[in-house]
Amino acid sequence: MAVFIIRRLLWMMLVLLVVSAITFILLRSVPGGPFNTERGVPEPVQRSLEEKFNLSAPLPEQYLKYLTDITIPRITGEEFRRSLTNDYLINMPLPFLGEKTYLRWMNFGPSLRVRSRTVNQLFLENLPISFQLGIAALVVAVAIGVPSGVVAALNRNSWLDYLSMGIAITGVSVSIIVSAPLLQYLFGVQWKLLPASGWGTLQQAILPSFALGFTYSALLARLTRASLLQVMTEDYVRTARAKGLSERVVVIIHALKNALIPVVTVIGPLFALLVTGTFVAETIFAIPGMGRYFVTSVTNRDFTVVMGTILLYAGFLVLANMVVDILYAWLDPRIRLS
Amino acid sequence: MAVVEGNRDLQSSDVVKLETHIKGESLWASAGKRLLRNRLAVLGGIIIILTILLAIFADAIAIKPYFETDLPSGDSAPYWVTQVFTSMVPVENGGYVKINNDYPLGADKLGRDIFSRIVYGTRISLAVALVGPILALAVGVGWGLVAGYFGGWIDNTMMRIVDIMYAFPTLLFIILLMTFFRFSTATPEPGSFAYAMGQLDKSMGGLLFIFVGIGLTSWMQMARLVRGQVLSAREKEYVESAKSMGATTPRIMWQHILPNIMGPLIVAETLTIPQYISYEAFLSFIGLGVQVPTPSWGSMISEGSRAVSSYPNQAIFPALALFVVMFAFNFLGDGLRDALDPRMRGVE
Amino acid sequence: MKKGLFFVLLLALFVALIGGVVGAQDEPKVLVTGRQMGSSDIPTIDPALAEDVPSVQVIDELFVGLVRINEETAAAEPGMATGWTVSDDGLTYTFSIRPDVPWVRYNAGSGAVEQLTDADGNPMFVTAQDFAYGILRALSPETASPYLYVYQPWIAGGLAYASGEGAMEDVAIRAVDATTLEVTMARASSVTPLIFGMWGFMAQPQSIIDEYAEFWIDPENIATYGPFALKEWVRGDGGSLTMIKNPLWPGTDAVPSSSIDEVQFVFLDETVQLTNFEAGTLDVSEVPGTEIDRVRASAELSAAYAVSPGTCTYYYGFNVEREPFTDARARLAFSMAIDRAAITEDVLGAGEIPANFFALPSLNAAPVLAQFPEGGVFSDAAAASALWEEYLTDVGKSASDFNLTLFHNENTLHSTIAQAIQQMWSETLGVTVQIATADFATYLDTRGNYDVYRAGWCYDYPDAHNFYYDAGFHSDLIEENDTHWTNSDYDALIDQGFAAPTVEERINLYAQAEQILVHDDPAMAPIYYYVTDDLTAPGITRTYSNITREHYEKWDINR
Repeated sequence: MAVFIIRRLLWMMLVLLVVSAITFILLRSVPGGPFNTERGVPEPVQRSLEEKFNLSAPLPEQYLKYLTDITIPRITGEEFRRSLTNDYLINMPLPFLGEKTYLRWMNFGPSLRVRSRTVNQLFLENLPISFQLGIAALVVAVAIGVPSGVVAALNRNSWLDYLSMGIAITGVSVSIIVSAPLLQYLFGVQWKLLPASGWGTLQQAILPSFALGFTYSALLARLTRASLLQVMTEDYVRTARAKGLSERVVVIIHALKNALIPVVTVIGPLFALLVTGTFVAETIFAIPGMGRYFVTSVTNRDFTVVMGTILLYAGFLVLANMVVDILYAWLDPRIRLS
Repeated sequence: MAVVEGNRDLQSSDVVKLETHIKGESLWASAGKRLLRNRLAVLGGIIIILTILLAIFADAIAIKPYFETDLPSGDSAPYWVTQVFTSMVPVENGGYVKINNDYPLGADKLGRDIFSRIVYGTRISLAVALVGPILALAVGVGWGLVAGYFGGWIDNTMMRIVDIMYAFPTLLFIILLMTFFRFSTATPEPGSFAYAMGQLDKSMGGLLFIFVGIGLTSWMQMARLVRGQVLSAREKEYVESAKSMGATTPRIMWQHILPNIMGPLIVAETLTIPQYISYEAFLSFIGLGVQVPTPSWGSMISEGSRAVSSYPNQAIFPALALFVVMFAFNFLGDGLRDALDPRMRGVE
Repeated sequence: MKKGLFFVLLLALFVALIGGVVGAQDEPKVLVTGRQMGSSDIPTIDPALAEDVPSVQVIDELFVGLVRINEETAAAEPGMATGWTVSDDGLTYTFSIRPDVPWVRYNAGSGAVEQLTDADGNPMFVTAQDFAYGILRALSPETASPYLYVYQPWIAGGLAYASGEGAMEDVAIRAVDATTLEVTMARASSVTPLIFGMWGFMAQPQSIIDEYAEFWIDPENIATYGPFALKEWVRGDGGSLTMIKNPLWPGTDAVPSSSIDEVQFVFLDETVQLTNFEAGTLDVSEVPGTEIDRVRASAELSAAYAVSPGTCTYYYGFNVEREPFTDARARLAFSMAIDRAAITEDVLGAGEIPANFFALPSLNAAPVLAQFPEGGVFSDAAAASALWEEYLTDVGKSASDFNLTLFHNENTLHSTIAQAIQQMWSETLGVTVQIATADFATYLDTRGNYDVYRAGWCYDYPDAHNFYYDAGFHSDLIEENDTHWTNSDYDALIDQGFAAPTVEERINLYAQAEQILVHDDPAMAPIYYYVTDDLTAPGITRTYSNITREHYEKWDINR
């Protein structure tokens, strides 16, 4: 197990390295820079800005510098002065090395466009909101998907089966760019039942998490249904039935528990998908999350923010997959990690 | 030598084809029957056929060219629309909606016919629905075939690349790719490759780069699938025998392995069609889609949703179109899956 | 039992969700406004770095310039300066600064706005030194203000310093004592006082900036002195910024002490703003162009609706290095072929004004239609068509020989207007024009490579000079000018207009310059003047600004 995790972690670093390189190359091949403004920037100013933010060196050098800033931890006892170019995500005191000794790690750099905020601040302030939205959407997806899958399986080929699968397919057919404005219009404007935008209260969370989560409930419903049907044909369920246990007890105690294993395993990647897919919901419902930053930073050529966001989300995806693999092996001993 | 080899090859492949044919026939036939029994899947199929007809005969069906503006009729709506959306009160009744029954679903801000634009929009959605899977198939199959067949370090390297591509958050990567393709072709001098691509994209109304962008982010699943299939097919007798008869590697891959695995792959890819449609809509929604005035449902929804309180028809009709087509593809795909894998239905 | 893990997980998710959502803020609101804030986070509230409307709106309330621009008359009123004298040669300005304005900061712990003290415990007041520091900071190449182009030519020595050739000591600005500031200008002009109302030239707290570097604008670090103090700043698109009344601001005639206790700016898309306004959670809202008809038709909304002049001109620039726009006739024909009234009435509809001159009519010294009814460019399809035919015959080409591209940055409004104009050109001139779009960064970088590009100019200080000079049409700024157009007669008229002593003379000179710029040798086609329209909830007494930013200290709420 430990070997497996270490190997996966090493692999993850390599993946992130390649991801960052591809992103860097794509990003820097596009015209325009972060300091472009309608009024124009005088030549000397442009130069001094590029100097300050490490954009004047040859590209490979810039890339290396960026990588070192993020990856190489610094153990230092120097007087630390936080600034735009000097802001670390991890500042761990190391009291056994000296009173003012700190381990400082992961400097994702400043936001070049705003010039008053670092990418780390963005992570700390806006990412949690995207996470909350992702979790809320996941809860919606599970709350709709799993029960309708169970209902469909228990009443297979009846109208209930068709109805719940029909609802599931409806869900997957509604793109969020359709459902989000529609929900906002109906509940926020027409019927005035829920706040039309914003983030911070439970009411405000309902519409966006529903718009985001509904789509994925179909996946869970289908999976639950198939898995449950499969499990119900297995020997131990038949035995339970033969013992004369009521159908309900059989389903709940024996079948469902086992049927949910594959469902649990998709929740990890699903969650990753939800968190990285919050962009539309954040735009339409005016939620100050991370998703919108990505798009605006691409259009603004805010290089550091784009790089930071991609790296973060990529790391998150890889981690989520790893956790699922481990979880899967743990839940089902027949599967061995390799 | 070549002749002999050709002969041998012909014979062995004939056998294989026949085998597949017999095997395939019964499989496909029974699957077809099951599919036809699924009424919702049939409905989905009918809707898709209708949509294809709509796209082909758009010129005849649309009542106006999609780009024709009529500023004084901007934002007008036919009477029946105001009856459905009761918040849209006509000017005559003290409201704000201009009534103009020449537009069956109303007109947008520039007085363009929404119905006609939806009709033309089917072309974009279907083009993406068609080309997206083909691109993913082409890249993914090639990739998986090579990796699976050769195995060893080639397989390892190629599959690690797939893993890396997987690590990219899809939507973010598409945005980045689209920005890259669109705008890095904005400056080069005429004559260069990038310039030619940029011009081609422009002449296709921006579709080229959408295809490339979506294609580049969606072939990995296919590659994995193909590799798995190849790995198991490689051990099969017909491949062994073809090998022993001296058939070359490309030939084995192309003539023996590929035909045997193609069926399930196409089915698998069909299931992803709604995803391509929604990607295009998403890209158009955030302004990275087709170029104006080419109508795309995504951009129509995006523009319409800015006026959703005043003129809900401008967003809801294209949204409905998108929904119906996605719905049809999903139902068909779901039916197809169940038909091919009866266990999923759990009928027997 | 480990199979129960799933349920534990689910429960954990619920707890995380509820904890996360409920744990967020719920602050008391007084005035909530989305007006002129946009839907993105405010980029900065650093006076030296600000360049956009939302940032400037906030800065104008947290800080006060030597001169305060009156939001209704756009005139220069005494701000932090109680008055100023000008030397006989019109070059040297001596400002007397109020002695009684302390630097303050909101203390989240005590919930009060508190006066700041220096290292020795003495209260800090805003001084002439703070202004000298602030102005020099805005001019410094180190600061790299995006507004440097606008700031640098005014003060003697400023241009050299800003471009890295001169020393800071040679900038002619001097704090004589704590309350007296002496500034010598590079050239004499009646425009000068307005410059000292610009946000970059506010007093700035050197000790704070030295201590916190770029983070000095964070609520826990910042020092301000205007009628409001910074209370909270929820960063991010869809976030908000809250200002609280500064009780230590001594009310003045131009900048009274505020009646409102708190102003919360929310960063929302205008569509979302209107939704919130109708739901009653927003006091002041913008109105999306697509919703205006409904707002006007509704008794309730139309009573809350008001339109005031804007500060920008929308125009198309012609690339004079590309056929057919190398010829002035072609440019004029394309300009006249634009049906401006159709754009303002059918496409926009908020009361935007068709533009026949480049400079906004509300600007100081700008020529206006009433005075020059024949001046500028007018929409005239027949004349456009005739002129275009004349050009085509001259060069021996047909309209179909041209494959032109119109370029704009990605935006629904620009796109709608471009498609309308595309049709007009096609119908009137028979020319097929392609539309190309790009994101803003690419657009700024590459718009000079296209035949026609969309642009807008919003004034920085309310004088026509800002349009004629700073927008880039003067050959001093040729590098900034993507039309690549120059005209020496135009340059001469602008230079004379800048120095002319009376407004009448300036208007006459500018009218001649306009004639060249938009008609005789057009560089561009002015299309319309923006307006600002918004909705105000009942019970709010307010001013209607003509300079985009509002002075909320003059507002009141009674409900």
